[in-house]
Amino acid sequence: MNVYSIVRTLSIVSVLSGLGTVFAQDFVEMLRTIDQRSNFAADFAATFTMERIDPEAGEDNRTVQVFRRDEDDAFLLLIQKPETQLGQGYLRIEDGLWFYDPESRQFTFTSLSEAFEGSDARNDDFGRSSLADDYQIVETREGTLGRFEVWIIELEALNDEVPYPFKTLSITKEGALLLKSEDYSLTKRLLRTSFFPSYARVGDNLIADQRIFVDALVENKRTSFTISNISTTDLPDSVFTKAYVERVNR
Amino acid sequence: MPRLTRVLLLALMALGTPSLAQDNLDDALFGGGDDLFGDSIVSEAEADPGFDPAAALLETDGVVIGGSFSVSAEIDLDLDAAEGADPFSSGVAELNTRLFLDARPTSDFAVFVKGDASYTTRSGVEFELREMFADLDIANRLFLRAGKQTINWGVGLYFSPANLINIESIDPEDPDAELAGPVAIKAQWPMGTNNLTGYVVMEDVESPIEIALGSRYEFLVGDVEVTTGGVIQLDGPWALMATATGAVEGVTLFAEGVVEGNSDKVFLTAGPAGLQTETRPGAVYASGTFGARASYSNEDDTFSVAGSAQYLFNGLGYADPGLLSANRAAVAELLAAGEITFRDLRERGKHNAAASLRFADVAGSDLTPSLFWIGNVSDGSGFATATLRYGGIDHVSPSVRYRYAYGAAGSEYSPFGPDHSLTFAVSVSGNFYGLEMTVGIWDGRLRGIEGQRVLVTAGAGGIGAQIAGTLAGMGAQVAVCDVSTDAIAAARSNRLLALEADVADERAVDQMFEALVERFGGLDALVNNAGIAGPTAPIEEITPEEWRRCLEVGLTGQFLCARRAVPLLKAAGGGSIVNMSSSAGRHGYPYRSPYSSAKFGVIGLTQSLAKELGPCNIRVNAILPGIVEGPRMDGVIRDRAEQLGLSVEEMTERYVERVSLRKMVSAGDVAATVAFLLSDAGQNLSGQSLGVDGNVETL
Repeated sequence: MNVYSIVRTLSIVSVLSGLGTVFAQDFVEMLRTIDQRSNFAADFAATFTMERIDPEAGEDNRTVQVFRRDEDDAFLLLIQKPETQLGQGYLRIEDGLWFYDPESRQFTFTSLSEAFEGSDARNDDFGRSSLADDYQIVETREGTLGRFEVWIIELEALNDEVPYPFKTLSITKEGALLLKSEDYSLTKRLLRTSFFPSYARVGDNLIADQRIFVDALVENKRTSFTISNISTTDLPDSVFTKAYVERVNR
Repeated sequence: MPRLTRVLLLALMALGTPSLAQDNLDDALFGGGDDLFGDSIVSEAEADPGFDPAAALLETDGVVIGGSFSVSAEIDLDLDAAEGADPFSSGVAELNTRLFLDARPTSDFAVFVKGDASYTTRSGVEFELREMFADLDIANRLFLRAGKQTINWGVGLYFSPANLINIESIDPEDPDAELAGPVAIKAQWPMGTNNLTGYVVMEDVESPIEIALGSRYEFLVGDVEVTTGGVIQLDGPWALMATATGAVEGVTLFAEGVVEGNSDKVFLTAGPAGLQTETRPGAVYASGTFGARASYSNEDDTFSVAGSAQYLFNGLGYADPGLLSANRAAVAELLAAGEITFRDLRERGKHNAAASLRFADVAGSDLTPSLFWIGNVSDGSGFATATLRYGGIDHVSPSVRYRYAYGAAGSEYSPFGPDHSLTFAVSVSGNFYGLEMTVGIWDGRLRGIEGQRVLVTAGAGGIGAQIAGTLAGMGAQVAVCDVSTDAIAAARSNRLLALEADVADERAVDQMFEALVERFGGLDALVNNAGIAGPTAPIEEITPEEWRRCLEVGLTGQFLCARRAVPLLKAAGGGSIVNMSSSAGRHGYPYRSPYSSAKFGVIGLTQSLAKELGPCNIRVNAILPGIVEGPRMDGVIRDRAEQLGLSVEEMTERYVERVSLRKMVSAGDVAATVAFLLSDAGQNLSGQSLGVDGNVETL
C-alpha cells in the first residue's frame, strides 16, 4: 500500500466520523449528516500506524503523521516510518498537491483533478466526503452485524469520480456508527471490505481509531490502521506550507 | 487491558487465520455473543491539550545523529575487448558514509549539518560537506535558511537549465540524487498555494561584487504550477527562468524555459592555430526543455511500470559539436590546462534527450528491470543501459547492467567510440537514524534563572555587583549585602534588595537572612562572594588580627551564610551555592598566605558541602577567579610592585606572563560563570572548582 492509499483511507474513513441521532428511515439525510460531520470544523492532527500483511509483497509497517484543515481543503502527511522513507511528505493546499522527497529535497507537483501518476488514488480520495452527493441509495434493509442491529444500505455512484462505483454500508441503528463498508467495482466485483470496530470521541467528532481493510482480490492481504495522538487544537497556518515540510526534514 | 488493544488483538487473531470466513470476522470484531467491547465501541480520545503536534516535529531534546552507510563493488566486463586482452576492463570498490547532525532547541530555530566521507579505489578518501545551515522562523510567516543548502529551481528530470543556483547538475543516471547547493541565505514567504522566495548567494565570494541575488515566485494557474524567477550576479551572469508542471490523463508534464546572458561558459571555436577558447559576454541565450512521466499499476498491484522522457534544447550548446570530436587531443589539452572545464562540455549539443522505463517487482519476483537512454542528438552520440536489480534481500542489492554507447570517438557520450560493456555490481547499504546525544543544546540562552531568589554577598560593588546585575538582568530576584554604605545606596538605586551586613559578623548575618526571608519568602541560591585581599607581607610581618580578619571574611563568612541558607534551600526543594575562591586557592601565593589559606579553605568547604547537600538537591561549586582586572587588582599589583621594587607596568607584565592566555579576566567573565552554574545548563555540576582565570599557571 502506498501513501496515496493511506490518504484515501484517511479520507474515506473520515465519513465514519459523522454521527448523531438521525431518523433511521431517512437514509439520504443520514448520509448527508455523515458527510457534514465527517469534516472537522477544527484542525486535526493524529498519528496513523499502518500494518499491512500481503502474501505477495510481505509485511509493511508505516507510521504517518497527519495534519488536516478541512475548512481550507488542506492536509499534510509526513512519513515517520520506515526510516528509509522518513520525511517524505504529501502536502495539499486547495487544488494543489505536492510530494516532497527529502533525498533530493525537491517538491513534485501534481493536480488533484487528475489521477495521480496512474495510481488508483483519485480526486475524491483527497477531498471531503460527499456520500449524499456522490451516491444514490439503491436499497436498504435491516440486519445484524455481530451483536449490533444495523441498517444495510446499498449505494450506487452518481459519477465516475469516486473510487468505488458501488458500496454496501452497515450502519448501526443506534448512534449511526458505520461499522463496515463493502466496496465494489463497476462489475459489482467485491474489491475490499473495511471494518471499523472502534471509535474515539474528540470534541463533537468521532474518529474510527481502529480500521481494518481486507483485500478481496488478493487472498489474505489485509491492512490495519491504528490512530493515536489525536489532537484538535488549532494548528499554525505555517504547517500547511512547503516551508514547514522542508523544516521538519533532515 | 485498554479497549483498543483488545480490539487490535482480536482483529489480529481473526486476520491471522487465513481460512476465517468473513462472517467469523464480523463476529470476532463486532461481538456475536462475545461482549468484549461492552455496550459501546466509542471511547473518549486520550487527547493531551498541551501537546502541540506541529511544534513537536520541530524540536529535539538533544542532537539527533543519523545517516547511511554503503559499500559497493563493481566489475566491468568489456565486451569489445581485443582478442587476448583482459576483458575485465575496470572495477571499483566504494565505501560511503553520510552523517548528519540535527539540533532543534526550539521550534523556531534549528541547525543542520550533513557531510559525506567516502573511499574509492580510484580516488582514495574524500570528505565533502553537503549541507550546513540554520533555520529561523520569524513570526510563523517568514522562514529563513542560512548556510550551505540545496536549492532546487527546476522541474526537469534529466536536464534542468532552470536549476540556476545549485552548484551540481543532475546526474541523468541518478536523477533523484540530492544536488549540492551554494552558501546562501534563503527567505521564504508562503502565501497559500503561492510562495515568494528571495536568495542571497555567496558561493566562493571573495568580494561583494561576486554576491548573486535571486528571487523566485511559485503560483498555481488552474491545475498547473508555474514558477518564475531570476538570478543576477553583479558584474556577472544573469538569468531569467520559468517552469510549469501539470497533469493530463494521468501523465505529468513539465517544462522549463531560461534566458541568460553574460554567461561565463567557455566556448571552443576553430581558429587558424586549431581550437581556441572564447567567452561571449554580450550574447543572450535561450534554452528550454519539456518532458513527461507516468506510471501504471494494475488493479491488484502485481504489475507496475513507470516511464519518463525529456527533450532539451540547450541554447548554449554547439550547433555542430563535431568540432569537438574532431579535435579530441586539443580538447584534452585545454582541459588539462584548465582553460575549459567539464562543465563547459556538458550537454554540448543543442539538442539532447533522455528516457527511461522501470518495472517494479515483476510478477512478485523482487526483480526490477529498467531501461535508460540518453543522447546528444546534435553529435549523434548517446548510450543506453538495461539493468536488472534484485531486491529480495534486505540491505543487499545485486545488479547486472548492460551498457551500449554509440557515436563517434570524441563525442559527448562516446568519447572512445562505440562500446559494449557488462557491469556486475553489489551494494550493501543501510540507514541509521535517531541516535540522540543526551547532552542538552545550548542556544546561547541560559534558562532557569528567571524567578530565582538569590543572595550575593558583597554584591554591591566589584565582582559582586557584576554578578548581581547579571542575575537581575536575567530575571532573578537578587539581594545583596555589603559593608560599604555607599555601595549599598548605589545598589538600592538599581532596584536590588540591598542589606548592610558584615558576613564575618554572626549576628549581622542572622539579621540579614531574616530580612531576606521577610522580603523574598525563601532562597534558591547563595553566592558567597565576600572576601578581602588581606595583607601582602612576609609571614613574620603579618599580625594575628590581619590573619583572623582575612579568614573570618573570606572563609568563616561563607560558613555563616551557608548555615543560614541551607535550611532555606532545602525548603525550596533544592538550590545552588557558589563559593568564591581564587587561583590562590589552587596555587600557593607568597606574601599572601592569609588570603591563599582562606581560598584553599573555601575549596574544602565546597567539596564537603557538595557531598553533604547533594542528596537534598543542593549543588555547591567554587569559582576560582584569576587576575581580575579592576581597582582591587590594581591595588594588589601596586603593593606587590612596591614590595619587589618594580614598576606597576613591570609587575603587571609579570602577572600576565603567568597566565596561559596572557590576559586578565573581567568581572563579567566571573558573573557569566555564576549565571551558568545557577542555570539549568549547570544542573549537573556540583563539587567542582572552576577556574575563571585564563589558566593561571603559577602565582
